[in-house]
Amino acid sequence: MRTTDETTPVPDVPDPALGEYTAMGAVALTDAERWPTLDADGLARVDAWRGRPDAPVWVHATGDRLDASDLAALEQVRVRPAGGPAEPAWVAELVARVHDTVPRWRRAAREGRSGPTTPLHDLPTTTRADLADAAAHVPLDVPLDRVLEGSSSGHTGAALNVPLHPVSVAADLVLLQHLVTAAGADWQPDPDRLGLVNLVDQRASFTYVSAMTAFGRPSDAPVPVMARVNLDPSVWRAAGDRERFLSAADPQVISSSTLPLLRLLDLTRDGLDLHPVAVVNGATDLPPAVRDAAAAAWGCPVIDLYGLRETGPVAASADGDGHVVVPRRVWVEILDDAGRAVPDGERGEVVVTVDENPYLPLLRYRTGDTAALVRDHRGTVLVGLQGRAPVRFLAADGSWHSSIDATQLLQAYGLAGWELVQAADGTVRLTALPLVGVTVDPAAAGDAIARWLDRPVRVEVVTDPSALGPGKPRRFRSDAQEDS
Amino acid sequence: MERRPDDLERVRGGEPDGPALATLVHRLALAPPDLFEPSVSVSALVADVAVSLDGTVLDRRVLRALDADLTGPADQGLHRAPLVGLVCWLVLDPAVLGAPGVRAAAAGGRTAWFVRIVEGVQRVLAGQRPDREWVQDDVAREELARAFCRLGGVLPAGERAETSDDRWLAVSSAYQRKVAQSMAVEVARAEELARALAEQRAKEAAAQYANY
Repeated sequence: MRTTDETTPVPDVPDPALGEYTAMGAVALTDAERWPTLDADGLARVDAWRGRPDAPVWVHATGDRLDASDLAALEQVRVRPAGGPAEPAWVAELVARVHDTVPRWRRAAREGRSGPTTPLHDLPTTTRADLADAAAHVPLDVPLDRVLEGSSSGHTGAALNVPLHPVSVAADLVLLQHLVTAAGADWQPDPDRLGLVNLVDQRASFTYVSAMTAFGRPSDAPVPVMARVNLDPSVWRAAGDRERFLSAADPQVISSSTLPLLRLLDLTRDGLDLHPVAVVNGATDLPPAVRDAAAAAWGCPVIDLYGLRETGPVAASADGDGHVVVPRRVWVEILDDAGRAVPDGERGEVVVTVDENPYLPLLRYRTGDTAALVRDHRGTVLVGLQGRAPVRFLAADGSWHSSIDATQLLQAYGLAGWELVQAADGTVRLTALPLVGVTVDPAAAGDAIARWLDRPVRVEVVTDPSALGPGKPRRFRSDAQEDS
Repeated sequence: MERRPDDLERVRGGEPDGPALATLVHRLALAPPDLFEPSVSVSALVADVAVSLDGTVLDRRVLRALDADLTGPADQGLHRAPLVGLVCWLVLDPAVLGAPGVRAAAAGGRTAWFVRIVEGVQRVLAGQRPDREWVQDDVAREELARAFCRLGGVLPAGERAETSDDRWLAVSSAYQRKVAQSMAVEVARAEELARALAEQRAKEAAAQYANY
């Protein structure tokens, strides 16, 4: 396999603390283990995309890990109908199951706070902070031999380490295929193109080529290939490689988030000619202007997928008019600040009960995002979804930088939480909450931010998480303007 | 739903105004040492108490079953006899029988009520502690006194069901052991998860199709 060109200097990681992003620093498997069912032709096509002279320096190699029984399980997911307005039966079954198998709920049962027959609406909610103790939420009876480490992106908050299962990760592809097809697009395997590109635009990122063995297709059709690609110029070997590679790949589906999409639209205006059958936005709000620009640039459906790493996909919007809850084992409630259900049509916090990831069934997970819930012919719809705003910071040289870069840095320097604020005049303040039990120097985190933005950073250290404020940790804010 | 006062599930209920817990605990402290002597026939004692309670002569089937419980299998039987003897000792206290809650709980027949406790105490407490601790140790006395009330379907005088339940779980040896075992399993699992996540094959992760 060829994943990096030995003769080409590998770009340095952008900060000494980001060593995990050293090229191929996190690989462990063989290609046969990455795609247990992939044939020689499929492997050859993966290698061909990896080895293109205009390919970026791949930072990682990873696959989908799906064996034949996983693929059979995913076929069941493919035919799952959308849920109705009433609480589905699986919710009560999940409540009963977790009280028997999940440490957090076993404890609640031992202490008499809740039990297997407690109605969902009488259970306490689960917060992101609760998941810092991941083991308390992982069922005792699920074998751990397939667990994967999933980090949340940190687009809008602190990153979190979420245990994932290969089948639940691949279920995202099954859902995307359903959503893209439902939006009217024709997504058929095309061996000459990438079936999907997952596009990011950040200083450091795991990038790779993979085969999508879970892609639903006729038995004689080739397995489509996908790639995770970083638009940041520093990861490409030569000027023009980025455009040449993307043009050759002409990905059928572009799966990304708002800021990389904006960058891609810039490249398109500069002449990059792509023909996606659909664009999928995730992680951050998709402003109407960006949706319209993408639709105009490529003339294809633009789907905004709402979900969290902890929950997986929750709802999707193909037309910008509300997010329809997706056909998965996901049940959405809208609660007020006191945790009480609000009537349909009233805004409140989106709270999700989900039973998709075998390692992380969640009861009443508070997303920190808000919406109103309506039920119409499309199903259960989240209207006016808010809370995923991407944040950009302005460097001294006038360039804009995504909060994802900051998340990576602050995490690498051992902070458990933070608030990074840029004032309208450009000055930067970091409130740092160090990880308990870890010797860290918050000043070093401040220095890293200072190098990143080339601006001085005022650092304040706190030891109490509540000092960061209530509700969702809105840990990034930038009031900087173009002329700050 | 059928009440199961002899297991470790929470039982919200019971007749209010049972005997005062202090009365039961105090009486246990005064229990005659003979009750721990292997030579004492506890079956005969149970039969005598039944007669004194309401004139019931226990039939041969009940006594034979009791004998079987108290004599075998080996060790367990030995530990059951003192507990049953202590239940007899508690029941003979006029303050116990006179409590309004007990009168209500035993309305269907004092002996039937008494035999339920005799049977239950063996299941719930036998082997949980060294025999003499049931009268010598403060917490053990409270555990036996509370088990007596639960098995008899009464709440200690002045206690609400929720409070009584919480206090029972706090002193129940079997429950505390179950909690400790349960927690040990969870701790081991957390360590296993941390090891699994730290493995390079977990860190290699899997291809992502969407952003979160």
